[in-house]
Amino acid sequence: MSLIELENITKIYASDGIETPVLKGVSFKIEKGEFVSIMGPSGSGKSTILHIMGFLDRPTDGLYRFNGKTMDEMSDVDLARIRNKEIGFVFQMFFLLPRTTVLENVKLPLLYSEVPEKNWQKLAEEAVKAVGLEHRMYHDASKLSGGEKQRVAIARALVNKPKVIFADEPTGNLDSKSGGVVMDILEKLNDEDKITIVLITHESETAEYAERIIKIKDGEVDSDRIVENRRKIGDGYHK
Amino acid sequence: MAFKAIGINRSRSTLTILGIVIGIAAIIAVMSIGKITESMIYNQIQSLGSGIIFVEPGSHSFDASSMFARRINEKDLEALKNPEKVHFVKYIAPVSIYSGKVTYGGSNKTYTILGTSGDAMDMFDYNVDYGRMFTDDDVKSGTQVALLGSNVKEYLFGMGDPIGEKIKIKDTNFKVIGYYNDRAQKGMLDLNKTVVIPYTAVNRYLKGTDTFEQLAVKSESDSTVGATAEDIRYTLRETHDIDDPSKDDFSVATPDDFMKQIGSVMAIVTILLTSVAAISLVVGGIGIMNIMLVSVSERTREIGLRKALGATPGDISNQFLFESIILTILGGIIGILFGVGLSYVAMLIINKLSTASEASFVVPPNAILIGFGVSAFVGIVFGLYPARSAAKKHPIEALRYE
Repeated sequence: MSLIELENITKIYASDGIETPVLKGVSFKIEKGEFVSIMGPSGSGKSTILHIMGFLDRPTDGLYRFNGKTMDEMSDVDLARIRNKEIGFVFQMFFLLPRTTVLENVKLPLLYSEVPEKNWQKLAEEAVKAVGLEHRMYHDASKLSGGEKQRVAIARALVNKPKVIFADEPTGNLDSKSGGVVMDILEKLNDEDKITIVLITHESETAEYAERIIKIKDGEVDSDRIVENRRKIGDGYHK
Repeated sequence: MAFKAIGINRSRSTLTILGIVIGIAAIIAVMSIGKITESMIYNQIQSLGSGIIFVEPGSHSFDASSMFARRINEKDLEALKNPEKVHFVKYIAPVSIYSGKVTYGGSNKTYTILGTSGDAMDMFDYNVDYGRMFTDDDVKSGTQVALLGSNVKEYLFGMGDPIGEKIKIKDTNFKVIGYYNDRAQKGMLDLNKTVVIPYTAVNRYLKGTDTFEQLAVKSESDSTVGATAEDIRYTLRETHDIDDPSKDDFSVATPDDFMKQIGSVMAIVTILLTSVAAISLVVGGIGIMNIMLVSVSERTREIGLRKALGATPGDISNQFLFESIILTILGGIIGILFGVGLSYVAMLIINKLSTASEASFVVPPNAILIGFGVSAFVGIVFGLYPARSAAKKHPIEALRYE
């Protein structure tokens, strides 16, 4: 059983009576423990695929199965629960709460989980350590550098020990050095903790951290290939 | 989290809850000023002496016929004095009022002349401070003797001793046998500006009738007041030949009746004023709703993020509802404090203006409960719509919101 299965997924946005098809029948599978990049030019529909895979949006048609469970059968509350428990998100814009410490930001998903409150501190500290920010634990998150902010976001994605992390252009707002650090962390999480990583990017250099690249074009899968010269931790990314 | 969100926009939050503060303060003030006034009136009635029943001519309906209603006369008094007919009577004092010129030497002035009996002295604490009281014999025979209130004594005699002197009321001479120190006013009558003489003398020499403005009856105890009042009604119906109680040409009022009447008037006034205050709560609530809607739209991305991280629509709705309830309860607490302060000031003013009796400071505990309850309720009612609209936001659209 694959962790993620998309079967003929379509998505049509309708506004003011005009229907815009964004996805025109996308099918692929991602196995547990894989590191996959989804590439494509802007407007190709790659973000929409990520939103559907991340249970943030529902497809117009087609079948999406996650860890054996079909999305069709889930209520909005079920979707919220599965996002909380099984999925971590890392966004291009970081989306940290301002005037709030690093640790409090990382604790946020725990607020909506069934994890007892007495464990929150320990889990959040572990997650912050995993991204190497233990010296920033009680800093105001909005005062950190971009790279550090993204590492806080990764720690927040990690805190509920998800099966998969969806990273939507995680290096898009970072200089190449901090981008490299972020990618190194994601790769390490995949390599050592066996967390499935799905990366959305339009930069081929970033995409090559993955073991497999799915290219999307005009709402369809254009190509799906194994990366031969995969970038490794410390390869540095323009270092 | 909620406290933080409110703290970040401190001045905005303060302005927002002002409506709630004013509304709750007004409600608390109205309720406790009502209670203060009521307790002051109650004290005043109590100061007349507990267990006193007032019998007056005329039913208490204010139509023209009651003006010409049959007077209470000496025959009625005799009937009521019969212990076979009216039980538990401790004192019974007729009150015959006349207003007339009192002359001594070259000076004269118009004073209230109170005609009554020795019973009144005990009932209303009208015992003289100097000289002697008039006796039952004085009353029976209508002796021309007089007791002077402190103002009367001072005006007519200055520092001199009035006892034994003769004063003239209307055209009749009365011998002064006693006088009073300054007394605090009780009820309608200011004893300081009154000359007290036997009721028989008032009726015979001044009014030329055998009727009274009022009979004051004191029952043996508070628990017998009702029975005595009922006996009085029954006896007067007999002497007045009345079969139908609805045609009574007299009224019998107990302190309880007064309190009930005052209580019901105060309740109506309080309800009216409270509803006016409630309007400001509605206005305050709309302010809360407005600011919560602004807050929801400002924090659209935060809502999107929280949803992405697993917040259910219920979680989001609760978060905003909680914030608006915190706001209104905060307003409620400040309002309660203001309201209590306001009623304290009101009490001080009432006590300054009124010489009669001291108002005591009361804040009804249910007013505070109502203050809390209402402010939480306003928070829920006016927070619900913003909270629902926050909960309904689509996570993707919320995250993309600029």
